[in-house]
Amino acid sequence: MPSTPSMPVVEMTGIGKSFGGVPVLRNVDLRLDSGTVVGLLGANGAGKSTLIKILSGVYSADSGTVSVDGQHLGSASVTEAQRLGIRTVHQELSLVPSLRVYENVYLHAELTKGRRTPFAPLDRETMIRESRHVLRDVLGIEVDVRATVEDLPIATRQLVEIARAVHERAKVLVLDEPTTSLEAREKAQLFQVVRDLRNQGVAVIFISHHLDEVTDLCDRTIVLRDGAVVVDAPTAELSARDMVTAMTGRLVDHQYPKKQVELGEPVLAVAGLTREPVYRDVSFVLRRGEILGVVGLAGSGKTELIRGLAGSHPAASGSVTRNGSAVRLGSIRQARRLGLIYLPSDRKVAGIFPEHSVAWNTTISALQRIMGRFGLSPTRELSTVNAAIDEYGMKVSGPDQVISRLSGGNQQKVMLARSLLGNADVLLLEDPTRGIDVAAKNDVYELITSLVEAGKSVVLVSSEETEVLGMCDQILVMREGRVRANLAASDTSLPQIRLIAMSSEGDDE
Amino acid sequence: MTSTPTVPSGRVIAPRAMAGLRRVVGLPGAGVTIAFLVLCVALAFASDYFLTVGNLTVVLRQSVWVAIMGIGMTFVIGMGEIDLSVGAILGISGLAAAIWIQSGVNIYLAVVAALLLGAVIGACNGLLVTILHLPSFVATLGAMSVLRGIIMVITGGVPVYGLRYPEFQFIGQGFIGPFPFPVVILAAVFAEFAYVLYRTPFGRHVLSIGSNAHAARLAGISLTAVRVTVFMISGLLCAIAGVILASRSEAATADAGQGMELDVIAATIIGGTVMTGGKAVLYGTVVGAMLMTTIRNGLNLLGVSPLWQQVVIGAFIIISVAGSMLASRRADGDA
Repeated sequence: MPSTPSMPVVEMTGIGKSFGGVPVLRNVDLRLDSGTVVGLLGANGAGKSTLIKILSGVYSADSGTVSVDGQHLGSASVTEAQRLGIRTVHQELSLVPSLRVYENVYLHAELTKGRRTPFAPLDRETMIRESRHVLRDVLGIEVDVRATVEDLPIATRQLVEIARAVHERAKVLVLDEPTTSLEAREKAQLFQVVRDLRNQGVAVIFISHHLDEVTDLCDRTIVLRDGAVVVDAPTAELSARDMVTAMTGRLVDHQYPKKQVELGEPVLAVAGLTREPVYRDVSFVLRRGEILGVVGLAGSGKTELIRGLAGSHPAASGSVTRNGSAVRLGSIRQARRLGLIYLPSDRKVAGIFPEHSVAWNTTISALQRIMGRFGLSPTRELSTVNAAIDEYGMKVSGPDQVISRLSGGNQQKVMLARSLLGNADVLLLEDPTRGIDVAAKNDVYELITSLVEAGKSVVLVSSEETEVLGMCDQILVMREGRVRANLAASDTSLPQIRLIAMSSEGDDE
Repeated sequence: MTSTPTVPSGRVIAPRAMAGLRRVVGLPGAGVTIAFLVLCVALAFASDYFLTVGNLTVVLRQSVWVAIMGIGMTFVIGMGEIDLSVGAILGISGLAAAIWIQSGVNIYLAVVAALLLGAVIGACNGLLVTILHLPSFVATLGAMSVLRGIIMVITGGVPVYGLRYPEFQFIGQGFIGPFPFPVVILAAVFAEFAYVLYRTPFGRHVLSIGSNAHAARLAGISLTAVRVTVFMISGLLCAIAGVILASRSEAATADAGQGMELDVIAATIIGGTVMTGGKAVLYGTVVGAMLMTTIRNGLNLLGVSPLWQQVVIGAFIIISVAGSMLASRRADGDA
């Protein structure tokens, strides 16, 4: 444990922040001492990222003060926060991939020979020497500083980004979910760097959903819930269960329009499905009328699993049985022919045809259904789409409305209509309610319910555990590429799911 | 409009007419059509000769090559790709037909073989784009250079002359009733591919890929098959244009179709097809081709030097595309 005498580097007091009248942070106090690592925990929407953004000068707080080394941080200014020594390493790295390591370390602070003007010749030798010094002597990592960043593994890139922060004499280093895409060995290396920095007096804020890492690395742990600090204690005094309980709190009982449907025969059975290194040995049985939920943190393999079932990123090994016969899900078209249809979470990127109409977007997967004597029949298309508009309760001005003008919820209804016209029997839904307002969310849940009532089956991958708990019959909890538990929804709870998803402590459950 | 009764009726009609006009102007391809009509009226006043049947036939005939190739280009650009090899494919298929005919191959067989050659070259472009994942700009730029090189190697720069066979001459010079045969071919090609683009699943798939290739893949569309087919269509149509040109000039020259890719792309874009893909206006392309020919024709009639014609046409492309982008941005509510 650090022997450096602690003194506060950052003091945030009484921080409050609202967006559009909705309070996101309420009277938050955060004290950071030099030479300590503080873990910041909280469920999605608890206010972690807003708090970090206020500290790093992206937002300004509505109330309260931020001071760094006794200096007041005024209105939102990233430059000012950086000048005071606050550095944030985001999940999406801010390196320029096509440049070399040392060029990135000195980005926007390039050394030149002679006067510092934009067209002065670069002083490469010094930049290379200094970058090497920071990386090797300060951080203890062996990297060729002349290597191009895009050729480096993600973990090394992260360390380069940290090197840049260190080089610019960061006093406070904020690591925002740095371990999501790292393997065990890389994590160990990152943690060693963080410990070294702590011993050199840097204050570190470590944001993670992985409780084992927080326990392992952090001296102190702060838990945010609904925009307020609910726990601020030495990590040694907290168990993973305590952390989950603090994050979850008293549950607000949200009513999901879940109906118990008589489950039929198995429609999809999967055994030993593996795609290294993202998931391995996944097995489950999905029955007619069933909703199977898959939960896990980012990087747990749940997204890759559903894409494997969709055929877009096929599994490397394992067996799949569809309605009793062995099949292969080797491509999107193969999976679709078997009635497995995938709805991606990012509708804008992978779902809609933005400049085209609701009709176009609805019928694109089932054009043979609207063929008339002279090719595609506008009248058949109109009647098909009008029926879908009624059936799915789309709020549109008509079949001709351009889809990009619709709300997220209505776009999602179009996507559901498209897959069912395309003969979906097993719907693979990935975060189907992301970016959708509350009322439309409920519409989507009701649509899902009516689908399973009509004999369809659903695999629902979601980053909202409550949604899975409320809508599903069977729940797979994934962590680090493996299914850690297969639970009946009626027989589990949010804290149990979170504990298993977030910590090895949950494996005894 | 609750106050309508108190307003004199003439004033009410005006905004309604304006709204109607705005709707017409907002239709895809309206811009190019209006520009074309305005230009025709202006030229009719400026030159007595412009509105003669003879001159109009010339204009239409000279548009045929760019229009036919533009129909293929409309598919390619609608799919979000580009084909820079169209002029070279025109050149090599016309040359192939000429050489085969001169070496004694049956004329019909030679023509069919030349068309197949164009389709095969187009398919090769498609394979470079799909299998090797080359950007179509690069693949077809390379193809253009390779084909031009082959043409030079085969001909040594010397044209193949003397294609004076009635069956062959008919393709580029014949008439069916009052209509020049090339114009009949254009009409047939247009009818066929308008049907393919707007009335078949294939056409929807093409524009869906142009709109959002990722979504198209998840919707179950085979990107490879559609892409290869579209480049093949483009190659085939270039070969048709190449045969017509060879027939019309009774020769195949080494520089046939050189630089034509730019006219073809310009006609497509002026016609209202979106450069980034997703939306295509097939008749707009044909009008675009006629518009460009008309500008040249009109400037000729007015005695403007051909050197200046390039400047006028270039400026026209920039102005017309900027205008249509401005209009569509306004339609999107300045989003």
